[in-house]
Amino acid sequence: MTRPGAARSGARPSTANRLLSALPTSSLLRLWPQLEPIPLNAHDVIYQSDEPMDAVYFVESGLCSLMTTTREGYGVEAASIGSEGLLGLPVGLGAPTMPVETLVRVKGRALRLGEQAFRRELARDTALRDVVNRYANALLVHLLQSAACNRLHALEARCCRWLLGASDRLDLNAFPVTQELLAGALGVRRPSLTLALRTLQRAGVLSYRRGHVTITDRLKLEASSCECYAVVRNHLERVFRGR
Amino acid sequence: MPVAATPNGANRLLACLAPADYALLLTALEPVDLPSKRVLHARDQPIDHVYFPETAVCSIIAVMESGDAAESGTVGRDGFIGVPVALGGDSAPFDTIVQVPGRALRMSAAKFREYLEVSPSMRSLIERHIQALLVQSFQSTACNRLHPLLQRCCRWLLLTHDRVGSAELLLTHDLLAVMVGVRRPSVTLAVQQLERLGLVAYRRGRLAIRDRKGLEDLCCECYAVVQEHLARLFPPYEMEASATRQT
Repeated sequence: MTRPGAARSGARPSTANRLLSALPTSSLLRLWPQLEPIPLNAHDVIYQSDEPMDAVYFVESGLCSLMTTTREGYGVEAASIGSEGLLGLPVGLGAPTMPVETLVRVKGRALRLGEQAFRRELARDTALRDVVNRYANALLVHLLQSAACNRLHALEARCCRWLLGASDRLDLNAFPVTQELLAGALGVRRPSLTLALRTLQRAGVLSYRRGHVTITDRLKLEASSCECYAVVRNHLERVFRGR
Repeated sequence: MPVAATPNGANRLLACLAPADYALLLTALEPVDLPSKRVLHARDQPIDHVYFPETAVCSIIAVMESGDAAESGTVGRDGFIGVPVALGGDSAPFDTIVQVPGRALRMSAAKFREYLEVSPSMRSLIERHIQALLVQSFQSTACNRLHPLLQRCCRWLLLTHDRVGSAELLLTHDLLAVMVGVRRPSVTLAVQQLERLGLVAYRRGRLAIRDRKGLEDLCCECYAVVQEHLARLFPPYEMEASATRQT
């Protein structure tokens, strides 16, 4: 794949990744030639659980998921990441493994940066470090909030939270999501999820058909979600206000 | 009480710090006794101090609008309280409270920010602590959703036991209920069951661990996963090296 818009010297490259977009032009220009555009295909596994991470990925579109799987083989999503974020944050923390699997849920594309290059740039570029640090803080908020949410909140509310997050990340009101995927992300059996979706559909919040969800009433969806959606979103927006 | 001129090994991050970097910290550190339930950081409020726990163990707790609360992370002598400050933030949407009373060293958030700029070794230690916290939160996300209460109690007791270093914990049922995210009656039943199994003894706010191996056997894998990652992030030789340095 050729690099998009690498073109004119001095011109600010354009990217859909919000972290890169938050960087000053000089930082972005230095990073740009080192970034390799790659496609994210649905079901691609970006990192296996506990495998060393050899690169980071600035997501430009699509939806990825960090999944924790228990010994019994049940899984639950710890966080989802889209164009607001970065896959492989632990590379920047100096210990690039995680006990979670990172995989692609909805196809898209990303800009890949090798492990060494990422570390080198973090060490010399304070603007990049600031943005990555703020993002790390937001991701930590996301994870800590999810830990409590998974304990305390009802399935329907968590389902709404997930759909709102996905809708924000994809910037779409209608997107593909199978019941199997959603049940897996929420850590429930499929029949329970089917019931939850049916309730939401009857309430006029969304419609669900053949692996596609359409949000029909965004305000109702927000009202049906637990507060965790807003908490996580507010902290995420701080990442981009900070500059 | 003045702060020791060399790390006393009570807080692992400080123990791993290069001697020159520790010397720089000395004047800014202040020993404090932390009573049970003290709120160190209140949610959405500016963080004024960061803490290096020595014998105290603290919890990061998400309190929901309904008033229900659940613990999202445990931090003791293996870690540091004030991650948002290290990452350029000034508050978090969580309460950080003392669950097991004890000692800690604290410093002002402003001084800590300055210090991070000049101490690469502190920055790298804090980064490793953040990584450990990420691992803990990944595991809690799954564990809280998928594992039964009794196993979650075991996980919490084991993690806390490691951090306290004594077999007896000062612990009310109210507090344990928040730690594992259930109502108090359920936690009372769970503790009774652990007592019947001979794993713990509970009396008047004191929980004694009688059979640590038994707790580990009953626990879900989440305890082991978190500990393995912690051991990888902070290899034990660093603790030994710092202990030798003192003598």
